[in-house]
Amino acid sequence: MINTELYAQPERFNVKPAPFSSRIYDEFSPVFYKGGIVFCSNQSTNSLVSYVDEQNKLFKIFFVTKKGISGWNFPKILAKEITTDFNDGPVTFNENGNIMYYSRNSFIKNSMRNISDTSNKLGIYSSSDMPGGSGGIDLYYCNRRNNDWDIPVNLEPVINTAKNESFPFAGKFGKLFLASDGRNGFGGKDLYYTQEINGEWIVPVHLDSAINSTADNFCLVTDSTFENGYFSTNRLKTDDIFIFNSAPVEFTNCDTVKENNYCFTFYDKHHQLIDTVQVIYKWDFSDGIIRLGKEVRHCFPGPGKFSVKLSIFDELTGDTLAFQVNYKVELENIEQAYINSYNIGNVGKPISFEGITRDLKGIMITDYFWDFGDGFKTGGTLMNTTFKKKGEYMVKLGLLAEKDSLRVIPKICVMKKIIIN
Amino acid sequence: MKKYICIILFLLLAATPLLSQSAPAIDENIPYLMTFGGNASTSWGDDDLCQIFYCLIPSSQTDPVYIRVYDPDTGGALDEPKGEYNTITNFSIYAGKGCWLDTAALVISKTGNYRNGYLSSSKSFGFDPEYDKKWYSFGPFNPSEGEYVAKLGGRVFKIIAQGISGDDGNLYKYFLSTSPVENIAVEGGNLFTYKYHLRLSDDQQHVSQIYPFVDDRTISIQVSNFDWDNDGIIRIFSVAKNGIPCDVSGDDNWIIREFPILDEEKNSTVEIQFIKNKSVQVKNNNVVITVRNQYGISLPFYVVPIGGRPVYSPKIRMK
Repeated sequence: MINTELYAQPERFNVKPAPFSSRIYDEFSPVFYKGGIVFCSNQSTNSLVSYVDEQNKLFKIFFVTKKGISGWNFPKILAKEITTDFNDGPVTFNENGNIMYYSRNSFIKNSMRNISDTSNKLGIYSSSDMPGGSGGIDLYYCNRRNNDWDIPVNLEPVINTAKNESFPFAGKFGKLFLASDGRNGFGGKDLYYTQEINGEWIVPVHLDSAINSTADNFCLVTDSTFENGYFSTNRLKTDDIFIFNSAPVEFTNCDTVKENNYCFTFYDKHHQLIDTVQVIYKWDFSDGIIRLGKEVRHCFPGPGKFSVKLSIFDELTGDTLAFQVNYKVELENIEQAYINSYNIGNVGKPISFEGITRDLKGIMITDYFWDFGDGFKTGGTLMNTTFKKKGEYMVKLGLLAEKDSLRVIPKICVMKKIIIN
Repeated sequence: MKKYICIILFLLLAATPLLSQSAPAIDENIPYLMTFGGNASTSWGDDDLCQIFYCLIPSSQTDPVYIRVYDPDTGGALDEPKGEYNTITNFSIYAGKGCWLDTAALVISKTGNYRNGYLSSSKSFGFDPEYDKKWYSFGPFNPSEGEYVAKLGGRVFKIIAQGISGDDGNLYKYFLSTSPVENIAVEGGNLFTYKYHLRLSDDQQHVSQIYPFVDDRTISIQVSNFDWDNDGIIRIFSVAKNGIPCDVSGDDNWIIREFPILDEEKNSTVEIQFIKNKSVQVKNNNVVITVRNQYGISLPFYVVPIGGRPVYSPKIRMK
């Protein structure tokens, strides 16, 4: 039985308009850059006189930096060199911040619209209404190979709908955020995220009701923990950039990870009555292994269906008492989240932890949180950590699952003891 | 419940191919039945000098039947002399009401009303070469003369072989036949006893077996053997017993071993197997076997096992 608790918080995030976002112009598509935010806007400032077309309200690429702990400086054009008479942006940067990808839209059909660098792949995600998609605007992945770009690959139907998917943002730990108006959201564009688990994209997860609204909500970027970030919305009539942040997620009632057992002792219950019977027990495990004995131990390779055949021979007469009596064995893993790691490690040497959720039937995991002794933090399926002191550590894996029919989020937590020498 | 038990037993009887009604049966691999003279010592292997067998004739049999005895005399090469042959054995056939009672299983020795029923035929044999190695036929008997026993699905006759005088061992066989001159089996017939007096083979490679039937009231059985004389091993087989060894008796004494009966063994046949001593040859070994349930009631040995020979069915488990 899985220990799940309902994630009862109706709103996990707090949202508010970003101070650098105006009320009369449009601002959208924020991205992180050198400690500040780069975004698109058609706002007019004195410094932009020579570049802004007041009639057409062309979008330019702005950059805003932080001022002090919580303040913001006035937004400026990011680079005059890339400012044109077209709509410039949105943009994205590679992880090092030394390469910028951006789109320039002249309202030509079949254009690439929004792009996002991937956090752990070589290519970029983008959106396009090019032919051959699922309908409307679809998300694509474009791999980079030796400074050339492969042909964009349409993401699977599990992500793309007959309507529009756009504004991809590749977060850490494999999360891909996107906006879609083709799903059962609150109306208009809503924000979702998906991620590859066990090699397959999960059905996009609808984000918190504080982030999504009946207006358009799109273009979300977040830090590595998905606890702070920015998104765009027109809930206040014009396109604005909002800030969001979340309360820390806590997990209680963590179950200790149980080890799966594939080794068993086989015996004949009838034979238990008397142990002086002169018979030979021959066990055929259908994998080429034959064992002799009234009680034999056998280890199966893992979960699955197996056949064990028992023959019994009379030692005194040579008669066959039973011939290949079949016994079916069906092994299943314990229905639990599992932390795959070494149990023992050394100070200062990294240990790899893998969160395995494939044995959780009927539950779609959406978020991974890890606690290595310093509280739960967002993570991915695979984590590396280094312990600095000797001792026993209780490593915890917290999981959030897809909302159920009552729109509550199940929480699952398991823990495993690690000894550091 | 009783009706239900009867139906089960009847169905098992009906399902059993009863083609041969010799006692001992070929499948039992026992050479002869055995009864000693009235003055014999029990140390020869016969505890009460009397053997009671029952003939079960199915209701469908309406033609006359014969109860044939092979080598009924005591003399010649087959029997066991103790000095000069001087033994007289009486064979009596009983029929009619009381021949077989519900309490028959309790009557396993020549005590009380063991001769209930009416005497239909009787003959005593002494040292008589005319019957040596030959068949003698009692009958004809009208099957309707037998006592009708619903739970057995037929009519029953009783044969009592009793040593009258002398001290020799009479070795003989029975056959339930439709002919007075040859052995032609009664289709669906059977022979059974509650106390098996038998002679084992002298061949050290010999394996013999007899087949008590365990009803659904049985939760344990007490297997008793008399005068086994260290002649090898006695083992118990069933659907749930794979050759459990049984305690064996010494000279002129009984020994009892109790075995639990599992649910899957109820309403089925158990096999008691005799494996001769391979290191020391024991000749002329006469043995008496009984099987009682937890109430002390004897269970019947059918020469044709009800439901067939038990086949051990292991109960595989893993832990």
